[in-house]
Amino acid sequence: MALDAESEAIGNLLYDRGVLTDEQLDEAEDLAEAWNLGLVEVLLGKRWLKAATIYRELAYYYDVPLLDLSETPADPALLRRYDVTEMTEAQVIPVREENGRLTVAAARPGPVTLVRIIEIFGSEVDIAVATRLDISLALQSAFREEQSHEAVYGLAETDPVMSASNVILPAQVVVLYGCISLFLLGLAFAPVATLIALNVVMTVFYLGNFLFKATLVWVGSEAQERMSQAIAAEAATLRDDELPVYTVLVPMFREPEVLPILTNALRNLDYPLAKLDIKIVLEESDHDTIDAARSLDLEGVFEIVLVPASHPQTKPKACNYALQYARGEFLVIFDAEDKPEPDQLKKVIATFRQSAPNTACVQCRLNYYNAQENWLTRMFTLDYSLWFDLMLPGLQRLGVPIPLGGTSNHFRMDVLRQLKAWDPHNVTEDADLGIRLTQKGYRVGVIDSTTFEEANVSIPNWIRQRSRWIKGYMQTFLVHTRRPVHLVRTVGLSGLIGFVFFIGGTFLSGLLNPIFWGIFLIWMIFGAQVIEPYFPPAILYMSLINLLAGNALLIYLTMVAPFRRRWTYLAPWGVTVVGYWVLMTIASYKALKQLVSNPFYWEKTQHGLSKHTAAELKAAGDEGEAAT
Amino acid sequence: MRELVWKIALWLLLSAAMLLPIAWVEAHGFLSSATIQMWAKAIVLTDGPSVFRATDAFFPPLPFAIALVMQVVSGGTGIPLPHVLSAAVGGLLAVAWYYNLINRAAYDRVSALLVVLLLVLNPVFLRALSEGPSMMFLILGAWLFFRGLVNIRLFGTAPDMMKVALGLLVATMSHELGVLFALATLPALVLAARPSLLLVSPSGYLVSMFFPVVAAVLSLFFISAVLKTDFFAVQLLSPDRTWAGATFLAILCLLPVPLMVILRLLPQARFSMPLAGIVLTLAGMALLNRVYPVQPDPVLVAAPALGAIPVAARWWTRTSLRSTPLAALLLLSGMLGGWALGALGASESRAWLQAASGRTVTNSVAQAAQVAAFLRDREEVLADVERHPDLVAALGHARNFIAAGDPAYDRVLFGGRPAGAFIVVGVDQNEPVVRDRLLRALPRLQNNRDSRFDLVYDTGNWMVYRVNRAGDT
Repeated sequence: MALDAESEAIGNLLYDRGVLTDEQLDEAEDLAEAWNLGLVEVLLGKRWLKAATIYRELAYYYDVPLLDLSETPADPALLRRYDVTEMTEAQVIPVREENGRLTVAAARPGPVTLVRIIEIFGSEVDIAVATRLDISLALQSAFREEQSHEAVYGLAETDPVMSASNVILPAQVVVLYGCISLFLLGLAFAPVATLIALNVVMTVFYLGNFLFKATLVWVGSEAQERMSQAIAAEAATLRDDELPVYTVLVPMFREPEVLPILTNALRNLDYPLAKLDIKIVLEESDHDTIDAARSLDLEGVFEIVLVPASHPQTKPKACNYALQYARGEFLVIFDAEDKPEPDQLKKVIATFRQSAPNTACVQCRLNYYNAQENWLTRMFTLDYSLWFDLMLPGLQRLGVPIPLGGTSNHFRMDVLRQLKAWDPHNVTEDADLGIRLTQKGYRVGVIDSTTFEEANVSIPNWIRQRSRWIKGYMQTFLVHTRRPVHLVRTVGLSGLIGFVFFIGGTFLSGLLNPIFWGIFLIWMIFGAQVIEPYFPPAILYMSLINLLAGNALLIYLTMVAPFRRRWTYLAPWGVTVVGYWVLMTIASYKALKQLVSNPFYWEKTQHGLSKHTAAELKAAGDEGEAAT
Repeated sequence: MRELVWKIALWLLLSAAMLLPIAWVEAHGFLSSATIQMWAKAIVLTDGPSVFRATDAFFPPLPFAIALVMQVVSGGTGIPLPHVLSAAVGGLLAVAWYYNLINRAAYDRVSALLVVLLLVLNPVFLRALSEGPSMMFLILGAWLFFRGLVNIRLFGTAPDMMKVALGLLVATMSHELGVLFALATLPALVLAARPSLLLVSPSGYLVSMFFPVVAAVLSLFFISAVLKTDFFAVQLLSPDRTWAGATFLAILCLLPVPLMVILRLLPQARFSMPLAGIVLTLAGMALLNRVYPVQPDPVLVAAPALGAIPVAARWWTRTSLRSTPLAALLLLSGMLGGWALGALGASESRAWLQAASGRTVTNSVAQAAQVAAFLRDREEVLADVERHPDLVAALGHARNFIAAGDPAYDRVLFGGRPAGAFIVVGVDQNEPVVRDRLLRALPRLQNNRDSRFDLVYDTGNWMVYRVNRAGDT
């Protein structure tokens, strides 16, 4: 695609005024042609010039004033008279009104923007230039109440049955109360029969859980190899000029130390940086991270979104808030310490192209770069390898709703907005969204591209994180079982079974494990005669199968998990997974307690504890310097 | 879904077809001791005295558990249920082999059908069908293992690892020989390993490959300990030097196809090494059976080699003419298998060959039919049901027996006052050790010299006494 006349003129101007060197201009023009973008967008994605310099030169080129909105802020009342979405898309705002004439600030003046300005504000306007960051901050400031409300209550107000803002509905309480009453009545009038019945239910559940997981691994692994090759092949043929704008959301809270890792990883993405709309989403009160982000003096494609303080203070609420400023056709969420594989975004685009039209989300794999640090990181890596490398592809193959993982889930923006995005009251909003997408008739895909993260190195920190996840699974289970018939109709019978075992099984096994461990202990200490009345032969044999074959199977699946990545050295550690299950049980009970006492509380996981992260930080610093 | 229904229908059809050769030899009197043993166990556990406690092992657990469920569901039939299970596994193998050749090796339907037909008509396969479900499951386990072993070298995916593990697990849980088979796979796993996997962590690779077997064996020990039974159902036999040679020869009779494929693919280590690993496993198992003898019949020791044939056929170089030499080699293998049964097989294999050729042979259930008829209407019969499966099988139920676990039975064993109305003992003058535990506890019964019992039935092999209560006060 040839360079447009405006870009050529701006380039010459910058060169003549000594702002760009000869080589820089050549490279920028080549990139603008290759990426099918304007020269200014390319320059905003480079670190040759400060953003302020580019805007100053733009103002000079168009012969309009450059406004510093931090010194002369826009009138919020004036802003609120116009549509925030239109202004966000066009990156324009009215700054003041004098004698019936508006002064409109634009981040990217030019013929196209001028048309949009006239459409939005009329023709009685004076144009000025302001930085994109200033315009964005002015919009955030003017619409903070409405947008904050939308971020918190958007889903609850439009689709209340899908929202976890009510932890449990009255009808669910009645059912739960009925079940408990029935159990207590049974205990009172037929204790042995009741305990046997309970035993049967739990034993069958365990058996189903084991078999379901084995099936997932088997079918998932076979399907993915062929598809991966086709996607990689198409991703390699994608041309930069046809790639769409991609929004990258990075919600962060009190983790200034890992910011350089992320910015560096994003710069390393094999995607035109100028086509990335990167939002670093920070809480207004998190001054340390805000200062750290500002001090990095990031390229113009990085934008800081400040989320107003409100309850609940959760990641999904922050993402919902930032979503209102997103400009991309697709959107992905990364955590601050994430290192996505460079070709991930292109693979996602290729996947969307190859998939059914109702594919609304693509989940990439997650794994850890510090697997070998200690026992916990090894177990966590085995856990993630099993979950993302083997089980999620199995869910996809069997058509079971996929609970999305915490990061690296890529969405079609239109669908995300239509569904009111994430549930801010659910502490595993991603898992919930995955199930909601399927219920709404959309499909979630899983692809072979990995984002590497920092595995938790500390057990208390791990328990905090895992208890939040399990609490979120409990919330998700409660939300989506509110209408069982609707659930079956929308996800099918296999989807329902998968949902029960995958979402329900994850927290139920953690809660039930100590009961069976206790029974086993009693059996070993006091002999079979103590438990025999409650374990008729058929149940005893089934329980023995669960105890021996089921647990052995789960251990084995854990050992198989790292083979795909050739991490065979991790396999023997699978034998110690029982210790990991004990931690899961502790986290499950903590989650249950919190679900009752503090359901929306977001247990913060502290990142940056790993010694590998320090090395990553140093590498990121070195690379960052090299890029300037 | 439609494909699955079609496959299930085909499996049922083939399973029914597999019953024909079994029925043919049974009609001519052949019933393997393994089948009788399993059938009787299932009858006693489902239809025997409720207080019955087995002292023999819950081994092999896989076919035993399924046979038990079948016995409960069917309520007992005149047909030995292990035969039905055996046929079902045979049908499953035929369907799996057929679709494997079509889907993975791109054989046309006629060629795949021909290969599978020649495989299932191999006399060793037919002999294994009549031997019982344990042997058929062992062949299934061996096939899964061999398949996984080659795939893991070529692809190294999780399902391939699971095939290896599942194969080893099925083999170990199905037959005593399967434990030896699993042990023999160790060098093969190294030989066939993907170099990249071994380079990263040899111990990690081997631990994860062998974990299922170790877990299975430890689980069996645990079950034996908590249920207070033996680990193995069979005692180790006396080593016989001639077995090893005969076994190697019998294995060779079944290996023309795998050996030919190894020869063709010799320069390509990624194929030839795992295929050589298969041969090594079979040889290792035969060698181990020589040192720790659990299976005296060389032909049955060779039977898992049948699982190697479809794997080798799957990797036969894809040419338009591959079916012809393959069929020829399978035909040769079939003829050699028939020869092995007659020349190398133990007494049961030779008996099977006689029955297959239309000559009538005898079996222990038929021999026990007369005493079973005598006992049919008798109640409270003391019997060592675990040592006389033929009697249980001939009777078809075990409701009127007083057996192990009943305090009355245990009292008699420990020299207490005789209980019940009758006592039945099996007498074999040629046995070096008396197997019937009641006869061991009451040795004078063998010569009718115990005044507390009145002999009411005697055929030499079977003696039934009425408990004499004249002295009771």
